[in-house]
Amino acid sequence: MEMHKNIKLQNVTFSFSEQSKKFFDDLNIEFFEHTLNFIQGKNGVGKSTLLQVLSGEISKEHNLQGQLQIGMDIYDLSQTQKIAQLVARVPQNFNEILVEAYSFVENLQFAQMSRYPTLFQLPVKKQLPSLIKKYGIDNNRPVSLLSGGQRQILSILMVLERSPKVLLLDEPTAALDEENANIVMNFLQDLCMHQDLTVIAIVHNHELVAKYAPQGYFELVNERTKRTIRFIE
Amino acid sequence: MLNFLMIVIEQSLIYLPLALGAYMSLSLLKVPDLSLETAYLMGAFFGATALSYVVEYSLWIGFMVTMFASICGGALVGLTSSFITSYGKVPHLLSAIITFGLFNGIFQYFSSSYQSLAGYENVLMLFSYGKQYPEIGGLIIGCTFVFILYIYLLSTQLGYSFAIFGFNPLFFKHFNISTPYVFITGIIIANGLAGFSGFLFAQTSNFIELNMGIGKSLFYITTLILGRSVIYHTKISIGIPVAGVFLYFLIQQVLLQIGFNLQYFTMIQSLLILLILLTIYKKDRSLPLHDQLGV
Repeated sequence: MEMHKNIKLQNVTFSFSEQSKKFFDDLNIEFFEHTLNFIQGKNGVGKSTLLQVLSGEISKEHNLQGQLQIGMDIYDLSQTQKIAQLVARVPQNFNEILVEAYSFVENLQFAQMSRYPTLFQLPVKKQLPSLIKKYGIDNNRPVSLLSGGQRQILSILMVLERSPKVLLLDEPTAALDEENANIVMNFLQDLCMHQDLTVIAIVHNHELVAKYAPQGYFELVNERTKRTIRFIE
Repeated sequence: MLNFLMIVIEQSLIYLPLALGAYMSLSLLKVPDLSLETAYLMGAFFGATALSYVVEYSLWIGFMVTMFASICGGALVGLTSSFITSYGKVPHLLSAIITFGLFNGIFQYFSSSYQSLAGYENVLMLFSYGKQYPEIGGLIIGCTFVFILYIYLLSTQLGYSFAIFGFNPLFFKHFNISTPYVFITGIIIANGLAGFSGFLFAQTSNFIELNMGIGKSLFYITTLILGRSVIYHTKISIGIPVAGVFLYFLIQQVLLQIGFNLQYFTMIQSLLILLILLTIYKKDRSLPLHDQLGV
């Protein structure tokens, strides 16, 4: 399958305050569309900060400039609300977004609630993605009884309720055993293939990277105080 | 026997809104909401004040106006305490204590410490029949109205959001849902219900008094723990406050029937809570023993 680098992060300049040194200085990255993109790098190099920049979670007092291009559309990174509609991030501790006592389907319904929950009934869940069946998840099972992999899948689906074009994950398999890590990776791969989603994830496990991104991965490095990203084939 | 049951039902109806409010804030939102005590007092005060303005109108109008006023009185307390918690970044227990002090002063400024309601017509006597229990009709209508609204509320997005807050308050920020909105709304509704109970008590006792709310926290905690000991449910279950309040007054009346001096009932409540926490809760490890206040 031919892959296109249609998700572009251009001229990103970011510092934590106007007085502080530039954390990212004219950073440019081109991600592959509708596929898994993995980012690696040493501790503290700024991988998680990069995901925050990408997801529109950087507050206004921080000094952020740059553009995000998705296909033909270009968005200014300082338009955090617009960016947050296009790019969604699953938190590293995915349990933060789950409600344990309620079922898989109920959690998906909760994720659709409006900013100010109303006096109307919960939105009725549409047909679940058909690929869910493949992972043997009982939709009516309470979250507390789901495996780690199934919880991660649920947290991803909850974030996807907002219909983003790009999904960001910060070490999605860090808390999972090998079997569950593979389940989650297969699921992400399925999402890219069947739902036209682009996934950008920080993953440290070299075996997983080699297995699920044979084309290569991105490495964020801090060279002579300037952070750059390179693609390792 | 009928007399015994009627007393239990009448008492249960007076305190049912308070138990429902406590269930919302303590069990669903999982907040140690002591402001319910203040809301109980202010609901009674607002209701009693409204009572003095509706003397010329029919009982039905008086009933609706005082009911609305008492809920507003309680809700105002809830708004104050939850606002301090949300925007002052103060723990809710402390906000509730601050709110108690504020409204204690407000009550004393506008009213004497004790105020008799005997001079006003009793708005709960909506029906002329039933000489022995003349207020039961008003109590049933008021509580049924509140109960139906409460059931509906818990089936809505807002109702679910209260339970979500209790399980995982971090949930909202990840989905761009306003956490202060959920918290403040929940506490306002819970305190509004407590205010209604305060007025029902004031009307059936024919007085309001500065200290009438003090110690009610022991009542509602006992009620919820009693309810949880017979109905275990991890999600929302309205049966918990209903069963709890009925059992509470059933035990109280049984003790009275066997000649127990009710002056020691507060002590009995504490022993009951301890007994339930150490036996039923401990036996069933799945029950959240260290959950918020055990309720």
